[in-house]
Amino acid sequence: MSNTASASPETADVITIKPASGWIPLELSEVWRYRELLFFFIWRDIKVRYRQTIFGLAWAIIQPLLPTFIFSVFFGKLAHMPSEGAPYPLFVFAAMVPWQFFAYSVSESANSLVSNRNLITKIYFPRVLIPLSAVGTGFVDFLVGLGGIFAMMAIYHVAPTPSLLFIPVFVVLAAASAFGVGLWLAALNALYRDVRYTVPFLVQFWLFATPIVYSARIVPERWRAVYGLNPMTGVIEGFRWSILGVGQAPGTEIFSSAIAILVILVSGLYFFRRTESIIADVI
Amino acid sequence: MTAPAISVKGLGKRYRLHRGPGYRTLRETITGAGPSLFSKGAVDEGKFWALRDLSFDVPAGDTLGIVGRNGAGKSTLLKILSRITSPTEGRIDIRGRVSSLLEVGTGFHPELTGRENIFLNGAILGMHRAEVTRNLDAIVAFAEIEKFLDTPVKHYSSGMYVRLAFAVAAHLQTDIMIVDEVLAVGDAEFQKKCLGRIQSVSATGRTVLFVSHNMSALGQLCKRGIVLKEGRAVMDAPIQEAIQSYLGSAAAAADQGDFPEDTTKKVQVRRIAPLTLSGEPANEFNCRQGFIVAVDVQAHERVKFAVIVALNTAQGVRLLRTVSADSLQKFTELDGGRRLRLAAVIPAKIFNEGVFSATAWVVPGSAGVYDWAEGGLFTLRDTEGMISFIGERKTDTSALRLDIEWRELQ
Repeated sequence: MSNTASASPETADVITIKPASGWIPLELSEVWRYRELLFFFIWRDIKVRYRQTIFGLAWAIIQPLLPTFIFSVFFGKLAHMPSEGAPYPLFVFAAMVPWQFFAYSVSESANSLVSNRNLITKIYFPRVLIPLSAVGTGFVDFLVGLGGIFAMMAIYHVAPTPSLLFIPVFVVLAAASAFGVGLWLAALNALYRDVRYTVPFLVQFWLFATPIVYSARIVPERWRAVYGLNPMTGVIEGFRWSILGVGQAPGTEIFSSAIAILVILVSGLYFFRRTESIIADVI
Repeated sequence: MTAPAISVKGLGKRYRLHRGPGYRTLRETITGAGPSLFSKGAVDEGKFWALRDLSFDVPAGDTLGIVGRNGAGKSTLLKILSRITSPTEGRIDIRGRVSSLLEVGTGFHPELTGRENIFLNGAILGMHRAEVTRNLDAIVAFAEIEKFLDTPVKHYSSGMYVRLAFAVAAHLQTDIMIVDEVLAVGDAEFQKKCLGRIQSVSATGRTVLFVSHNMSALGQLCKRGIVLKEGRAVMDAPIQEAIQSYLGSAAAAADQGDFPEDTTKKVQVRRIAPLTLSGEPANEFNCRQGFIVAVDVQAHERVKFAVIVALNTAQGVRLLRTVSADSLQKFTELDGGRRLRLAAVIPAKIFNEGVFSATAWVVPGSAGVYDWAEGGLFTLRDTEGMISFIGERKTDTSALRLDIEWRELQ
């Protein structure tokens, strides 16, 4: 026995268990209390994911690099897609890295509740940690990929500009939109397994609905605000602008993307909480 | 009078009965063929109350045992108390930190080492890193895995795995401990150790809630007992009284009915049914005739397994263990969704008169356990012999009664 005194029942917090109904409070403070578990989940996933691979963490660069190569050949070389003055491969790669972050986090989140159902049906912890850790794992890959972008910039002799200081803003937006979409898909997939089959198509389609292989400039000015409702539009445009410093700072689409992200995230949190109360019974 | 550690008021939990697969497709919900997510209290058809009108208080430092047959609502109660699922009505107030040992080894990852799993499991159970570090030596010593601490747990034997899992959970510093039937896994010595650990936890003034089919463990550990029947508390009394009432009631039938379906498992023990040699269900058998322990196994995916059946006294002493296959070639193979009944025929003239229970496991060809369950109590009687009248009191006889030959030697 350790000699640590446990809090006496008189002074300890009272946990009340009641039927879940109406708007369930988000209890973000509880998520904070469980932050260590979040890090353990991320650590576990990273550790297990690249075990028994030859390239290990290098996959974090190879994964966005392969589509970059393909797009560069077809859209860059053959179709001569404009790239705002930057070398086309770099133009695509700088978008591919945050895109992979989003795509990975969303697909992993979508399946996360189902693949962790052994835990969910056996023990309590804030369920939101599960999709959140999927985003966290994606983020570690993203950081490695970011290193890859800088390496590629050095190869193409592209110097960073002061706009680089804005990167954190777009990284936060990317994480928030991945988390928001991930929450929706995770909860929906726990209820309807159809979701699992649609996610790969959704991600594929989304890739082309986002300015990755092309620039958002090809969309007419008056449609930009609508185009920005795709949350990744603002994220990718903004990210690429702050990395490469080419073109003018994007405005309208980032503004509408930020609003879209906020709406998806907040509604996702509430929908997830709502599902959480019945999840152990239906999963 | 201080506030109770756990206070349960008017608790109820209603489940919907599933038809077909355990989850819905989008089409079903849209067309209204499946149950809707947000509907409340619509038709009561296809729904049942796993728990109803349950109220009790557990004062801080008390040890409470919960008894009842399968489907009486024990697991549902524990799931609500440990916040895995939420109740349909009523409320519970819990004062203090709760740790629940609903299934040992939850969250263990086979690729990670013993040490890594200790930290991961500790975090899942709500322990801080510093707390785990402080208790690391005690956990490792308790689990007896010193030499294998940095080996991935996929290489562990099932015994080591269970020991480690229990050790982590048992070293949590919490005010309230909820324990579900963790003791039937592992060998007898380890079971004793686990019981001792739970006992020492309750001796330090912490509150313990314990569910088991092992009446002797319940009697040793708990002061008070609640008997659940069909989701309601039919008795709340000192533990011995509760046990007596439960054993005396029909609720303690040998065939406890189906265990709830759990599709998270590859394969499951669905039912343990003691039968007469002609296949009739019964609660009482003749010592001189032998009997059958039938185990229903249900697969949720294609799987190859063996079934182990053990027979225990009502006090929890293991008397016999038998395996359905002694080589991999003889393992049973079952497709997902299929259910199969395997029966162990227990020969005549092995056991004495008394009360016994059966435990069944489904195991893979490698280390580990797919699932296990504890059956109800049944009685063996000798309707012909005089054995129970010979010698001393009946309680002093042995559990075994083999056909021993007696001779007069010169």
